[in-house]
This record gives sequence, C-alpha cells and structure tokens, in this order.
Amino acid sequence: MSKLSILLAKIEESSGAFSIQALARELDLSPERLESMLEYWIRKGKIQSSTKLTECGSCSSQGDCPFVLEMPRTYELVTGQDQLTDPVTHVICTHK
Amino acid sequence: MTKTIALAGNPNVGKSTLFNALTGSHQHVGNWPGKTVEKKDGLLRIGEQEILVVDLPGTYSLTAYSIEEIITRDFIVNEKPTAVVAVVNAANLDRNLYLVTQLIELDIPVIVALNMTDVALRRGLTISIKGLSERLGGIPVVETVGNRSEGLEDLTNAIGMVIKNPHTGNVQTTFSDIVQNEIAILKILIEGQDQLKDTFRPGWLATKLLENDQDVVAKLRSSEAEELLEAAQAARARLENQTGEDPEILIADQRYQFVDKIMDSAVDRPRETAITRSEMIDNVVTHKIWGLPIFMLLMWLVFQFTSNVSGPFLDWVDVFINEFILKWTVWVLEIIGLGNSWIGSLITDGVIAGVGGVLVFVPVLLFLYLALGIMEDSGYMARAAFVMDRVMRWMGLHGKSFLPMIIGFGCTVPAVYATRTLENEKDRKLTAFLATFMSCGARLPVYVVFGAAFFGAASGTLVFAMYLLGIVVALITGFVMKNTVYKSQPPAPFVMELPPYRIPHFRDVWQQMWERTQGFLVKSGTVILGVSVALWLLMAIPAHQETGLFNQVDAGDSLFGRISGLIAPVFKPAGFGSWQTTGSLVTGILAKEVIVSTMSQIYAGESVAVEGNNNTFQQDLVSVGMGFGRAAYLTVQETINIIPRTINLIPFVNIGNLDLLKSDGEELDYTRLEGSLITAFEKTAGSPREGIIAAVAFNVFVLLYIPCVSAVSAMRQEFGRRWMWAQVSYTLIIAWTAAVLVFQVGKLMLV
Repeated sequence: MSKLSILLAKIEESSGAFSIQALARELDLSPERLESMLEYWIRKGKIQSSTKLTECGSCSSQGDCPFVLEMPRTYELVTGQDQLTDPVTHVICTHK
Repeated sequence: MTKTIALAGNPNVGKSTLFNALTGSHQHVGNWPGKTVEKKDGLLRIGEQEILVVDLPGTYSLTAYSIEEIITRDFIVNEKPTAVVAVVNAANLDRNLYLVTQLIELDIPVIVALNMTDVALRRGLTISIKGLSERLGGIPVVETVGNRSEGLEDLTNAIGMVIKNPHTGNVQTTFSDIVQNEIAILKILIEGQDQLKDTFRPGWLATKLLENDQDVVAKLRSSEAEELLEAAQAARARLENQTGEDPEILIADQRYQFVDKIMDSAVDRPRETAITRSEMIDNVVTHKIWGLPIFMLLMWLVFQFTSNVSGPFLDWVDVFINEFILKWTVWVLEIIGLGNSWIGSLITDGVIAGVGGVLVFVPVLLFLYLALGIMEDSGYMARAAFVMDRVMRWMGLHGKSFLPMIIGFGCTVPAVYATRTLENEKDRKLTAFLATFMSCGARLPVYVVFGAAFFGAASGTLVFAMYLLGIVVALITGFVMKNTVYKSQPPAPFVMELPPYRIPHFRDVWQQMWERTQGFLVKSGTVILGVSVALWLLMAIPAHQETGLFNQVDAGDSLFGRISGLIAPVFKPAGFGSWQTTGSLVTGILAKEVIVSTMSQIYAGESVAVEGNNNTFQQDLVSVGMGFGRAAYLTVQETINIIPRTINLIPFVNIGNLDLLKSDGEELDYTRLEGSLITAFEKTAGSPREGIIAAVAFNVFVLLYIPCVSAVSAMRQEFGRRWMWAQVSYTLIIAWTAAVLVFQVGKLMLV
C-alpha cells in the first residue's frame, strides 16, 4: 500500500484529531512531506484545508480587530454532508 | 529569434524576487489569456542576446486541479520554452522537489535555482549541490538568495549555457519498472501519431494518461485519439490489478519515493527522530487523560490571576473615581452653582456613577487579557481544540468547534463569525449557538463585583465556576441538539498544525492586552455613556405626578423603577426579584458591561453618601499616589499567593494563603457598589445566606441569558432571523431555569 493511501486510510479510520507532528512521526515522514501529501489529497478533493481570510467585512476594524486569534491550519476529511462550498477561514478578523 | 525561459516554483519561494532581479525594469504585467491570474514577463540580457523570462503562477504540482497548475503546464507544453528555471525553497526542499520531478518528466531543459539557502543553513540543512544535480540527471543547480541578489550571476550564466546548449536531464528511474513498462507501451503508440508527437512530449503524455488526467483526456478526445485512450484505460487496469492501487496514487507515491532518494543522498538534515521540546510538552498537555485536567487547571489559574491579582488595583481605581474624582467634581459643581441642579445630578449620578462604575473594572480586564495573551502567544491556546476534541465529539461536534468558543471568552461577536472556519453548515450554526454561552470579557465585571462582595478572597473561584458552567451548559445543549433536532453523521476526523511553543513576547502580549482593553474603554465613552445618560433620564422622570418631580423622585418610583418593577416578579423564584436587578438585566441586553454601570447608578442614589474628608486637593493627590503604590505592592503579593491557592486545590491540603511579603494583613474594604449589593441581595432573598445564593443565581442568569445586541445581530446576519430568535428564546429559558434551580436547590441545602 502506498504511503499516500496509508495516510488517507489513517485519517479515515481515525476517531479523533491528529497533530501534524505526531502523525508525521507515526508515518515516518517529515512534517513538510506530510503537508505535501495532504496537499495531494486536497487536490484530489478527499481532504479540505482551512484557508486564510483577511477580514469578514462585518465591521470597520479593517484587519485591526483586537480579538483576532490566529487559528491553526487544519486538514479535514471531506464527508460531503452539508459541506460548505465557500473557502473557510484561517485567520479570524471580525468584531463589531 | 528570442528564446524563452519560464520561472516555475511553489508559492512563496521567492520566485517573483528572482524574476525582478533577472529582468529589472524590463517587465510587462498583464493577465493570462482568458484568466484572472496575473502574468508577468520581462527581458533578460545575456551579452547581446535578449531572453524573454516568463514568471509562471506558483503551484505545488502539474496536475489539472487548479487554474495555476493548468496555466503552468499548458504554457510549458504548448509554448515550449527553451528551458524552465525551477525556483525551490532550499529550506523546504522535501516539499519543493515534488514539482521539480514533474518538470523533469516534461522532458524539457530544467535549471534548479536553490533559493533561500541562507534559511536552509540556519535550519541546519547542508545540501550537496553536486549530489543534487547528479540525482536530478545532471541538470544545473545554482544556489541563490533572491532578496540579497546573491547567486544571480551564477544563475544568469547557467541560463546562458542552457540557451546555447539545451539538454534535458538524464534522470534514472523516477518510476518503478512496472510503471515504466506501461509508459513505454503508451509512448510507442503516441510516437506513431505525428499530430500527437508534435503537440505533446510522448513520455509526459503517457504518464498523464496513466494518471487519468482529465484535462489531457478531454484534449485527446477532441483529437480523435480513441485508440490511445482505450490503450491507456487498459494500461491503468493492468497497473491496478498488479498493484492494488489507483495508478494516479501509485505514480504520485513513486514521485515522493524518488524525492526521498534525492533527499537521502544529497541533503544532510538534523536527525528528526529526536522528539522536539514542543512535542515533549505536547505529550503531557495534550495527553488523552491529562490534557483536559491540565486545561482546566490553567483556566483556573487564569481566573485566579484575573480576579485576585487585579483586586488591589480595582480597589484603587474605585477610590480614585468614586472618592477623588467624585469629590472634586462635586466641589467644582458647587463652586459654579450647579451643586443641586439637574446638571450636577446628571454628571455625578449619571456619568460618573455609570461610566465610572464600569471603568473601575479596567484592571480586571487588563489582567484577563494579559493572562489570555500569554496563553495565546505561548502557543497553548491552539492546543485547546485538540484537548477538547474528545469532549466535543461526545456531543457530535469536533475539536475545531471549540476554537470559536475560545474566541467567545474575549467577545461573542467574533466568536459567531469565527464559525466560518467550520466546513459543515449544521456545525456552524450549532457552534455559533453554543459560543454565546462562553463568558465574554464584558460579563467579567459582574462576576468580579459579586465575587468580591460575597466570596472575598475566593472570588476567583466564583469567576472560574461561571466560565466552567458556560462550557458545561454549551456541551449539554450541544449534546441534546445533536441527538434530537440536529442529527447528523459523526464529525470528520482532522489533522491540525500545532505551532511550536515559545516564550511569550512581552511586546506582542502587551499590545494585544492594550488593544483589547482599549475596545472596552471606547465602549465606555460611547455605548455606556449613552446608556448612562438615558438611564439617568429615566430614573429622573417620575412614573406619576404624585410620586415626585423631575430629578426629585425616589428611584423606585421613577419611570425606570416602575417599568423594571413590573418585570421583577418573574425573578422572584430565583431570589433576585427586585426592580434594581431586573432593570440592570434589561439594560444589560444592550451591552453586558451596562449591567454594572446600571447597578452603580441605581445603588449610588440609594447608598449612604461617602463621608467627605477635609483634605486639600494636593493632599488627596498624594493619597491617590500612595494608594497606587500600595496597590502595586499588594498585586505582587497576590501574584505570589496564587501558588498556595493552587496547592490548596489538592484534597485535604490547606496551607493557607501565605503572607510572603509580610503585609499588615489589613482586610480590604468593600467598594461602595459591593457594600450596596450585599445589603440589597440580603433584603430581597430574605437572609444573608440566602442573599449569597441569590447572588450566585443572578450571576448564572447573567452568564446564560441573551448575549448583547451586537452578538444577536451577528447571529441574524450569519444565520437568519429564525435562528436568531431561536437563540434569544432558548437563552432566556435556560438562564431563568438555571437561576431558579440554583436558588431553590441552594435554599434546600441550607435547611
């Protein structure tokens, strides 16, 4: 079985969350390689990743919202159920 | 004839910097035909020769899944540039070489510009240029540092050489024998068709057909190459039968294996088998069993720090506003003859009592944002989603849903918008719904004032209990909704990039703390000031002519007092059915900070006036300064006292609160508002002990009832009117039920 398939199977069969570092170690890959492989599955539409959004457009803080919290990048299995078509956010910037 | 060189590479590898350095001001910027992707080309002069340099879009691969990938490969396949300069990030070679392997498959001369070599060196990577070149079939590899224009001459020379003598690399076995055999079979078929041979490079086309590249297949269909397509389908079936893998995955995997071989032979990397410091910390703090208790302990420490350590400064600001500012404002008003006028009352009972009543809590918020800032900047907060994943899964959501909730600890409005990080529509709605139960910073002053009044030194525990209750109510609500009205499949597993731990940067934490607190100050000068003036007006207007004249009416007989009194019986079962508490809750819908400002205004009128002193202005100033010093001194002591308070959490251990700095042990006085609250709640609930239970019930109601109007309108904007009303109704019902339960059960326990 290829490492790409093992990676996907690992995520599909999992019942919880992984950190990039722990998963890379488990599959004997470098974190960079793991991310590259995750990118492959993203291109194939099997996994989706959070992407960067600079502002939500709901207020006048224009990117200077003090409640901005840097969100960690996540990779999630595409399940098809009620999935949103719009890109999702990575950095949240929104405050009244 | 002008030769063409294309620059290709992953995004953010410094491709544009190299392009600018090579072409200088001889550039043309436009769009790729029919696309919105920017196209840049420019001229590079090598001696007498002019070379057109085309900057291709950044891409990780040459498949046909994104517009950037299609543009890049169509340009190379159709325009057939003389050579491609593959710009790679030397610090992330592992990832970047995947694209290089595909460029080489295109059977075109490739030059590797090994960019950012300075960063690679800092990370301990030693790259053998000779080894890398050999592994890539002898293609030129040039070291560059684009932002310092280093290696530019070598790169220009390499381009000049390739232009004179274009040759492709002689790469040995990117793919296994079994794949290569199928490529060879298809290649023979392709070479037998002149039109295909002239358009595509046969080896590349054969590989793409094995990968079942839909863009290529569509082009061949229109070229009536059905025979080739059938052969490709048969080849794919054979490969799948023999390997049990989809050929596309098989080929991609073998590219990765090829990159592995290059990395092993050409790159000397620090050993990665050693667990990093961050991983060692994560083994403890994100542990399946210990992770959650550690998270709870840290949150407990945050609220101990927030309420106890800020206490001395809170008292100082209270004295400063309600004694110094108030005393000298009254003095000025009397001097100018407005002492007993409505204007004087508006300033002292409206503005100072209302806005000042809220400003007292600035130290509390400063310390809260300081503690949260340290947790964020250290990298721990990102782990919260990880730690909470198991708990969140129990109610059908996954750990990612906890991130918007964490934002809710600061403010509910961005928490609602933060649900956009979730890919599932139902999860978004539900998470936004639950995020409103997270205690925002605006609710904190309520807990602090009640904690200090009714629980003294244990006020931090009340604050922590409120935050915890918010999480628990959210979890229960989520569980019930996911198993009844909001049924859906179990949450999808996810992989999360955890930032490395680091020592928090003082400047970053300070800036964040200040900016967040500034938001509170701005609100004090706008919303709270407006509400305070409006409230003063409503409290100055008599409900009936018989009850008094304008500004000469008992607060309970004012328009505000009477209207609040009409609703007050609703809260009688919860132990706080007075018009004062009801009025505060009603105005609190505008903004949660207003609850405290309203109470300050109401109780300022009712409490016994502060005994004035005969100090001069200078003497008062000195007193304020000394008070500040004392507050700073006590803050240090309270910070140290967090240690014994934490140790006392261990069952059967009680080492007391150490007085490490040998302070005089003097008990701090209650603030004016705290004193008034104790009296009022005792009176409404019936006894001192019942007053305490009623105070807790009041805090529970504040925690759970309707979030502020901004949060409600954010819900409407994101999820519609129906969802907004559902949330408003639910929060009101759950808040009332919980408050009544706390009071009634608490009373039973007293018996």
